[in-house]
Amino acid sequence: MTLNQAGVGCDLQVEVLSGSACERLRELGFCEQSQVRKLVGGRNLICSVCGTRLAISRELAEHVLVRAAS
Amino acid sequence: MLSTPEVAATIALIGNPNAGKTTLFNALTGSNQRVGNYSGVTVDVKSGTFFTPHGRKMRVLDLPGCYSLRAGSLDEQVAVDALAGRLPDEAAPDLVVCVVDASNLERHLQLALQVVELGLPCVLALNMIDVAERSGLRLDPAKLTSELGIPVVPMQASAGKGVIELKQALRFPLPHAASATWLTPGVEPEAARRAHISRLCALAARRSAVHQWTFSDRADGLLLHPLWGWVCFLMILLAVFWSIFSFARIPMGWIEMAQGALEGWVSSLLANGDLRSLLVDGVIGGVGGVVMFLPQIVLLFGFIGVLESTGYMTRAAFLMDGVMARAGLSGKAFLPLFSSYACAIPGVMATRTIHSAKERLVTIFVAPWMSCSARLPVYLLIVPLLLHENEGSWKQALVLFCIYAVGTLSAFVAARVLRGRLGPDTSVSHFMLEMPPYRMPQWSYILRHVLERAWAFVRNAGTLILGLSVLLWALSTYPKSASGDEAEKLAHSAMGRMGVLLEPLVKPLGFDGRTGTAVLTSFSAREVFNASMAILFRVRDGGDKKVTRGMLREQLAAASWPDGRPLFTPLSLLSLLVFYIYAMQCLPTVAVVARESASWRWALGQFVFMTGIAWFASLLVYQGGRLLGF
Repeated sequence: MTLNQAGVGCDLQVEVLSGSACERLRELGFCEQSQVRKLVGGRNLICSVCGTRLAISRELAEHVLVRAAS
Repeated sequence: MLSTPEVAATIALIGNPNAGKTTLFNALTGSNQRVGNYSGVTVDVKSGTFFTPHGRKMRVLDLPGCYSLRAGSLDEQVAVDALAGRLPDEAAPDLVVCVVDASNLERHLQLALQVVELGLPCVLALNMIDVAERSGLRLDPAKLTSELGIPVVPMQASAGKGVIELKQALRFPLPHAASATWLTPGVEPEAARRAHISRLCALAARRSAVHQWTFSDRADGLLLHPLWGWVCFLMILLAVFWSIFSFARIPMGWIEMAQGALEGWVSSLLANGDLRSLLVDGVIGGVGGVVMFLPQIVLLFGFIGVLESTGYMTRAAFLMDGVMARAGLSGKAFLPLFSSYACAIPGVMATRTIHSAKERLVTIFVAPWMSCSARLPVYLLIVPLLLHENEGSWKQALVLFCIYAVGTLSAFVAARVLRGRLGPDTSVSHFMLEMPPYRMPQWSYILRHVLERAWAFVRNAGTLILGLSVLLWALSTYPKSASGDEAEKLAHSAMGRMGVLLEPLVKPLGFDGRTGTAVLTSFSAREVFNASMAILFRVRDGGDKKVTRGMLREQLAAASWPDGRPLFTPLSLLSLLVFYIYAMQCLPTVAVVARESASWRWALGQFVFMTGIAWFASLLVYQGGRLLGF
C-alpha cells in the first residue's frame, strides 16, 4: 500500500521509493527498510522517521510504498 | 606565548538544516547570529574567529544547512560552493566540522559521509546529545570514532557543553582526511552509504524498540489538529497583536513623558526663536514621534523570536500550506512572508530556502505587502483617530488585525495572479518540511536579537530620521513670511509651496497638500510620516505647547480644509491607511529585492506597481465612499 493508504498511528516499514523526488526523500531519512510511523493524515502527512517528524505532501506520499511493520 | 594574529586555519561548519550550526558558531565565536528552531534560518555564509586552547586563531564559516552535497536550492548551492572553494574571495576550508543531530544520526550521517568522500579533513560534532539521550538513544561516540576514522565530539552547543572539547579536537596538526572505506567498486555510492549508516547506527546509536510518544507528539496532536490547530493559530496571532497594542502602552507613556519634559526643559533654556523652534519642533518632535514606537517594535520582534525558537513556526507553515496553495505558493513561502511582518528585508532574504525559482520570485514580489513594523507607527497614529478613542482597546486591536489581514489577502491575490502568469515550473517541487521538536525558547539569543533590532531602529531614528526632521523643519520654516499667523507662515514656506504642487495629485484621495507632503517624505522610510506630520501640523498657542503624540492627534482631528470642512474624516483616514498598506515606501527593501532577484527591473517594477496600486486603492476607497454617501 502507499503511505496515503496507511492508517494514522500505524507503524510502517518503507518498501519501495519511486519517482523523481525519491532522492530527496532518502536524504530526509525516508530510505528503504526504514521504520516510519504515520502521525497525521490529510492534505499533507506527518510521519515520524528516525526520531524526527517530517511533513510531506500527499503527492509525494503516493511514491512511498509501505507495509505494516512486524 | 602570545596568540598569533594571523588566521592559522579556516574551518567550515556544515550540517543538515536545524542541526544547530549557528548555535555552535555563536558558542565558538561568541557572536550573535540569528538562530531559530526551523530550517533555513541561515541562508548566507557567515564568518567569525575564535582561538584554540593553544592560542591559535581560527576562522570559522557558518554555512547554510543542506541535506546533501547534491544542491537543490540556492542556499544549499552556497554551502556546496564553499566546500569546493568556489566562493569569491574564499579558499576551500582546511577542515570541516560536520554538525549532526545526535537524535537523528540515520539521516544526518549521510551528509557527513559525503564530506569525508570529498577528501577534506573532518570532525564530527555530535550535537543535541541531551535530546538524543532523553529520547532513549544509547550513543557510543568512541565506537563512532573508530568506525568513521574521524574525531567525534559529543556536545550540547545550546548550553555551551562540549565546546572546549571541540576546540581541543581542532588543535594542530589538524586531523587527517579519513578514507571512505564504505565505497566499494560496483556498488552505488548512495546504497553503500546507506548500508554503512545502518551498520553504524546499529553499533553506536541504538534506539529503544518502542516508539516513544514524546511531548512534541502530544503537542502536535492539538496544534496540528484540523480544527483546534486553527483555533490555536488564530488565537496566538490575535494575542500577539493585542499584546503589541496594550502592553506597549506603559513604556510608550514613559517615552512621551520624557519627551514632554525634554521639550519643556529646552523651551525654558532658550528664548523664543528659530533655534528653539528647530530643537523643539524639528529635532525633539520629529525624532520623538518615531522613537515612541520602539516598545511595539521590540514586542513584535520578541514574539516572532519566541515563535521561531520554540518550533511553532514550522507548525504554522504546515497549517498554512493549504491556504498558501490557493495563492499558488507552498507552505515554504509562509516563513519568509511571516518574517516580513517584522521587516521585509529578512523576509526577502529567507526566500532562498524556496526550491522553485518562480515561487521564490513571486514570494519576493508580494513580501512587502505583509505589513512590516515600520508601518506600525503610522497605523498607531491613524487608528485611534479613526475610532475617536485613546489607545489600547480591543477595538483598535481588531482594526489593526484587519489592516494586517487586508495586506496579507492582497499579497495572496497578487501572488496567485502572478504565479499563473509565470507558468508552471520546469521541475516539480514537493512540499517537504522537517518539524523540529518543541524546545524552550533560547531567551539569551532572543533578547540579543531584539536588542539588535531595537538598536537598529534607534540608530535609524538618530541618523536618517533626525536628518530628515531637520530638513523638513527648515523646509516648513523658510522662507519666512512677515505674517504672524502660523498657517500663513507655513503656506509661505518651501514645504507649503510643495504641498500646493502636490495637492492635485493627492486631493482625489482625500488628502490636502500637507498630508501629501508627509506621504512624499515617507518614501525614504515609512515611519518618517509621523515626524513630518508632527512638523507640518504644529500649531503653537503662545509658543509653549508641546507636540506630543496625543497633541498631534488632537491637532489632526482639528485640522480643516480652507472652507472649514474637517480634513480628516473617517473616510480620508481610511484612504490614508489603505495607501500605507499598499505603498512600497522603503528604499532598503528595493535594494535587497534587486539583489535577491538579480534584477533591477524586477525591483523597480515592484516599486511602481505597489505605489500605483496604493494610489488607485486609496482613490477607490475615498471616491467610492463619497459616492455611497460617507
